[in-house]
Amino acid sequence: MQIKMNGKRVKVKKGETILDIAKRNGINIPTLCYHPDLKPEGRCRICLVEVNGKLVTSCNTKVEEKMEIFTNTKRVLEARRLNMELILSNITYTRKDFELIKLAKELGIRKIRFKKHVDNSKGRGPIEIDNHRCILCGRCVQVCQNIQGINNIDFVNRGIFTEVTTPFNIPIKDSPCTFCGQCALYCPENAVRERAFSEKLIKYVEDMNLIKNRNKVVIVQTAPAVRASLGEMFGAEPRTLVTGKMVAALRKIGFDKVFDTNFGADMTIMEEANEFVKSIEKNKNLPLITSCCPSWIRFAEETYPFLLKNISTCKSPQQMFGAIAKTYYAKKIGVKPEDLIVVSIVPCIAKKFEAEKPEMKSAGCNDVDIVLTTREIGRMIERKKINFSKLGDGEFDEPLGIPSGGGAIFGATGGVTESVLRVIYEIFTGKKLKKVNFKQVRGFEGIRDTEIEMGNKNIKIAIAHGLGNIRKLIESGEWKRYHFIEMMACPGGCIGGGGQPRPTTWEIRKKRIAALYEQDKKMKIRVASHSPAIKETYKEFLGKPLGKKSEKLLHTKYEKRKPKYF
Amino acid sequence: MKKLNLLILKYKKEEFNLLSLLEETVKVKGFLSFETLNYISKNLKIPLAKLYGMASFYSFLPTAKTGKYVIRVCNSPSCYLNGSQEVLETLKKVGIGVGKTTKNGKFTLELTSCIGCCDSPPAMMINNKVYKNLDKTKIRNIIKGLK
Repeated sequence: MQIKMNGKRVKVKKGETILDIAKRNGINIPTLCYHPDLKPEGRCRICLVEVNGKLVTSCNTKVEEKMEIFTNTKRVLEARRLNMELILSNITYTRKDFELIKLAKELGIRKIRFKKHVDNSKGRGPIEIDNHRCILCGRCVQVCQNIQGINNIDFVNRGIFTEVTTPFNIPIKDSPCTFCGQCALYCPENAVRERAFSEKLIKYVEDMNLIKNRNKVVIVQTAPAVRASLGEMFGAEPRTLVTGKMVAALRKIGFDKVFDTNFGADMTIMEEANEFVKSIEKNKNLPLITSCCPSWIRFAEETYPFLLKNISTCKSPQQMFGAIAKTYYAKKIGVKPEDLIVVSIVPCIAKKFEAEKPEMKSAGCNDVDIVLTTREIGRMIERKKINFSKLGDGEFDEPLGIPSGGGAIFGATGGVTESVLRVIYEIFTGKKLKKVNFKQVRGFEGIRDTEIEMGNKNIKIAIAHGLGNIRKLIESGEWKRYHFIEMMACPGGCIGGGGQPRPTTWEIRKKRIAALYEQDKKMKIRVASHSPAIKETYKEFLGKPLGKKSEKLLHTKYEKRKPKYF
Repeated sequence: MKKLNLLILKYKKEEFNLLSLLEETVKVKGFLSFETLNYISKNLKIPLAKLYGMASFYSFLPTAKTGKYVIRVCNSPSCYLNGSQEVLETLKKVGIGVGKTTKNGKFTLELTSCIGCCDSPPAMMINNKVYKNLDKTKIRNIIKGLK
């Protein structure tokens, strides 16, 4: 089929949209509500083009025979600009690095002629929706409904009173929301965002002197997925790892010690692998389901309480690290647990909720005091006027900063499974592991499964990421067939988490995952149980995996919970 | 509850029609409370957010308890230009505010989109009865008649 675009003849296939064709031919059409991961809805009306004398949205109009398309006539440009002005009239405050303002500049808008109508802002829970900034593009609603399948938010009311909110305006923390934060990740305007963990505490972190005067020690842990994405906030390509620069920047902000959550991840692997071996030997509570993802845990506690006995009792790496820091490390450096402030930097919004759980207090106070997302720390570095791209490479502190490659790949979907496999291989077969890479468990499909032979055992594994896929796996009853299941609430695993830099698309997720595997490849120690830091911690402090002390510090319990209103 | 169950059964069997289900539920229950919508959502497996989104879109599907008489004043252009704001002011003087229910539980006042009386504006509806060509004295008389 042939159509005309801006006067040129272009070959097209049936079913393609006008936007697809323009992209292929190097013609730029500005878009706002369109996102490559989502179904185009034509809501923002920025991508207008003229087809045979009519204005249509190019993102969801399919090509037809004899179409004559113009993408930049005067009429088109004026219409786009008018629509942009109307959208801008809805918001009160914005920052120039958000998608919306970049686009407005591109369209040449300097002044907004229209007055604001909506004025109702509500903040609540780890996630807040700010209607001062919302432009009703509908990405968050689509993610919540189609990708995650939680269906917690939708458009409410009509006309100029339309807003995105929960049914009956219930506070988000009392709703069935799992705090996966995908809505915030897809928002082009930071209208849906993480709640600052506690503004007072963040001020403490920013102004380190305040804490030093009070004889407090502030340590920070950085999650495996942050180093693969933080650079994007400072203009780096998605595949660059910024481990060294990140450590240097954190030191410049003023943290006393910079540690690696990968150490916590290694510990999680040790505990989880041993738990798995135990349940295989006793043939009890199989399949074992991973527990690293707090959003998945909240989802299970609320929706699938019958699965709770199958979920590994291990805490997540963040909480394990916090518990070890407040007990073992605080003792080692001679500081009271209350005076040791543990900050963690994570790609996740649900971790904020997890750190506040009442059962996460192994030393009498919160194991993790402050949780910041990748975006928050990025903004903090910016505010401190640190020139991130020109920083030298810093190194993690010892002893909680020397990880194995197993911990490094935790941020990718399938990563937890692979690390656990590396450890249990040696337990089951008694031989040293030669082929470290279990490529069978890598990949991007929403639900994958595989079988792996180890010694005389045949282990069936399933991996699901994205809450929608998790629901599919559980409700089909398929989950009973497996021995080990990895569940991650965000598509792509933690590297696609709700606190990651925007924009995040599947392309970018794949690049971040590739970066993590490259990092693993370069590591000397690839198996968690070979790590000297882990060996030392067990020798000096914990005893053995699943021992009395680790049972107390590193494991937790789950209970059936009901959202307050349901 | 019995009536609601019957309704749900009916709509489970029928070709699904959400709007008329909600309309009939309002007839049975008076308004769409959280409990009612949650019950429907669980039984028909429709997300609550979707039901609430729909209910809040239509002014004839109330989501909070209403008074005995629901006054709906048309706020579309032809009524607006012909004095719907004055109607609201008069009602306010009688003690009925927009979006509120009077303390004695008798009146609820809401704005609505066009009710098809553009030929004789301004217009309002009280429950299912339409009143046209309103002015101050007319409104006072109507409200007095209902008290």
